[in-house]
Amino acid sequence: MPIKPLKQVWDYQTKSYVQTLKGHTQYVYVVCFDPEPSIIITGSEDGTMRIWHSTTYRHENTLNYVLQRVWAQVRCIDL
Amino acid sequence: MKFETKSNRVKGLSFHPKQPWILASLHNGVIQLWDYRIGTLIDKFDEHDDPVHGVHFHHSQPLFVS
Repeated sequence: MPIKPLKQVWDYQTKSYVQTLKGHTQYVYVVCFDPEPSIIITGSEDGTMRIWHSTTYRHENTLNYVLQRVWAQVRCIDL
Repeated sequence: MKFETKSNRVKGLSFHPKQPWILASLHNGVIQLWDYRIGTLIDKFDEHDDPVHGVHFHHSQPLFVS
């Protein structure tokens, strides 16, 4: 059963949906806005993590290390 | 402080970088915006049909990704 594209990016002031990130073929478990660089990172049951530009929402990269599910991700913050 | 709601299966949380807000994503597909100082539900986003496992605020714009 194909996963239908999800309305994933939201504006909580106007309460409107901004963008759908199309690419993952299974449920998405982890999502993260990263300020520097300006990207969105997503992790999915399809075994991949994907990187998106966080203003154009263009799909930039797919990380596929033959993972099973991506349940969680850890971010390093350089203060 | 307890944030009461019908579904008790919270899958994801995100703290707002500046406001005293928490986003909670639930198993029933709802995403809730809470004020954790007052303990009130500010808003609700009910567009997902499936469990929402992750949610995260943008650091400067009024956006979140789910």
